[in-house]
Amino acid sequence: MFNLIKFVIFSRIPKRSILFYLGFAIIFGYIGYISYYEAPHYVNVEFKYLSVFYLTMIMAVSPFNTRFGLATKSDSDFLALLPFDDDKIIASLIIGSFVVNVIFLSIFMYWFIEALGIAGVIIVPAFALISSSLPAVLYNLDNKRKILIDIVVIIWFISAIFNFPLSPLSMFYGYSEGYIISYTLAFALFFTALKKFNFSSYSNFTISSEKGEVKEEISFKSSNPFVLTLIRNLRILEIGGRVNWMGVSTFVSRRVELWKVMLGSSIFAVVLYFVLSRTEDLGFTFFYVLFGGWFVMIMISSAAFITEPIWLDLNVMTPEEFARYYLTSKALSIALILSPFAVLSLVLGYIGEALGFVVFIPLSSIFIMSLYARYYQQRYNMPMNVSPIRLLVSLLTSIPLIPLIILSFLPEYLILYAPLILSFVIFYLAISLPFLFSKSYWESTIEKIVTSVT
Amino acid sequence: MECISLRNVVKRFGSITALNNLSFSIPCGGRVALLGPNGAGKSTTMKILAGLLKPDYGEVEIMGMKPGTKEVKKILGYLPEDPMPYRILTVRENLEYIALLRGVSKERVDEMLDFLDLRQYEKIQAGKLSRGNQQKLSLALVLIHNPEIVLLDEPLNYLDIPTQEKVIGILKEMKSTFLISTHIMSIATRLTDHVIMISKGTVIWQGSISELKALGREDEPIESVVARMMRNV
Repeated sequence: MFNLIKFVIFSRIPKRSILFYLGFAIIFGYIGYISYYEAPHYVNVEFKYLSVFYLTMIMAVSPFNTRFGLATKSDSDFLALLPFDDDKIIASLIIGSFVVNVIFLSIFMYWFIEALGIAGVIIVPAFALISSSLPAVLYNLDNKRKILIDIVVIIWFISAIFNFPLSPLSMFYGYSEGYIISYTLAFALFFTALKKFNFSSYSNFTISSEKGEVKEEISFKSSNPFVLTLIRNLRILEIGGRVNWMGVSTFVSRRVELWKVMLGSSIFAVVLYFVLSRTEDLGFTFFYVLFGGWFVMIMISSAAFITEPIWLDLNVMTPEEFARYYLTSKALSIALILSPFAVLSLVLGYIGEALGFVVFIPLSSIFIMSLYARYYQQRYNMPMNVSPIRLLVSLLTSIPLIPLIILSFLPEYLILYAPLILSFVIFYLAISLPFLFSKSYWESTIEKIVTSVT
Repeated sequence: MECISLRNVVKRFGSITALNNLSFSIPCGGRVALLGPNGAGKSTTMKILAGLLKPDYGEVEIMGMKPGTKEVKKILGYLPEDPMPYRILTVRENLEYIALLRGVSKERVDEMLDFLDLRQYEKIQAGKLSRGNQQKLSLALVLIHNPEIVLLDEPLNYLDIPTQEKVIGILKEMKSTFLISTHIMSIATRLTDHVIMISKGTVIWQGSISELKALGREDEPIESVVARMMRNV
């Protein structure tokens, strides 16, 4: 069993990367520990918000792992056929996935330490176990049921912010019950997963069937390649797929109706309006709304190029044409999804944030997707191995966030000062436009893609 | 006139030389099989001709033009090994999307659905199809514009025997120039009349299928002749 667990772990993360991550976690954890005692109180408060937001999102996306956490096709094809009891293989997969999640979460441990002090270390295993067991418990439910359960999970976790002591994250607001509840939940899910998960039924569940016709077909009614690419990207929502600095690895690819997505984000924006219009000191809180938009963009950008049949695109387009149409249409779809929040910002008088949602965040996505295409290649059904280089690339993707943070903390009257807002526009154009027009960048990127992953 | 031509092409990946002064040409209308052991450089050659890779040295021309240009894309169809179409689009959507990008009429979409027996799957997402049906769809996407030059890497992979026969029939009817990379000699003999054999990135033999057969003993299978030639390099 020990060897099986070892196999699961090392088939996901190379040994060198584990050492890198642990080194990273220790150094930043130490910085967080010192900072916890020396930083002003409001900094700790911000990290409490950040930790609750982050852990809730990680738990919320975990059930949507299309291939059960880190279980790969090779696991279904070979691991399941090894002469071991199913129980042992399942336990190894969950425990292996747990160890991998502990390592990933450790990178962000310094946030928790900044918020809780040394107790921030204790919570990591609990949430790693929840995120590795939850997909195994819910794997055979349809998406509607998963979403319903997810809504309950999100409300329960987020309720910590409203001082609900029985939330698994209530420790961030001074309730020790949070530790007990998070560990109880983690072990309950772990043992349920061991009991419920069945490898052979999982394999059957993931084998695609040729039944199930699509009810509403996408109508391509243009001969313009950009319009065609845009129609395609507006009707397909893909999120996750790469491990970025927010630890996201889940990959979801769905056909969607744009109006339904827009309706969802509009309803959320309206709810936010009622909550925020009753909040004092909105400036600080509104940063989290903008950060939410950034998070959505990161999730969508992380999925870029994963299912794209480059061979087919390049049968009809040159590399730079393809990249230009693909990136611009993705950025436009992000702008559309986030547009209700831009309206919300305008209604509440935040002009800079409105621009952030519909201009700066979409332009940032072009920069991020371009870096991912070349330096962090990931294909569908490939195991999500993470290397120090990939993590470094993921860290680089946070560069466009810095001006956004500055923007959200600037006094609103300064936004109307033309040279200032112009400097933001120039920055975001400077990091995105070169990727749309660089022929050599995309020629060599495509060469890298077709020689390393097919 | 030569439709495909490579002269002294070199392609390196780090310290590995994939193609080493590779030179050959195919006349317009020619049907040629590209043979070679694993790692010989067949797929790299196909990708260079399709414009996906650039050679480090040497000259490559498709009907006198540089691979990868818009003009070449209009007349060329390239099928890689293990192709995957747009997995979330349905069979019909895949075909309509590529047809519109290529400026091909929608009637051609229906023709391809019927040619390759894909009609019953037209509303199924490509990612949910069996591997064989994904291969059929990929072939349909590559052939939808009736390309003058066709590059196929293991085109009959995953296809059942009746479908193989159907695809062979379709390809035989086309008047295009073919370069087909394969490991299976029966495919080479049925779809092509000439062979270019490469090993370690260099041409080791080229000629007609009948010349290749003549290199062996009277009762010797052609596979055995090819295996001997590849071993002797």
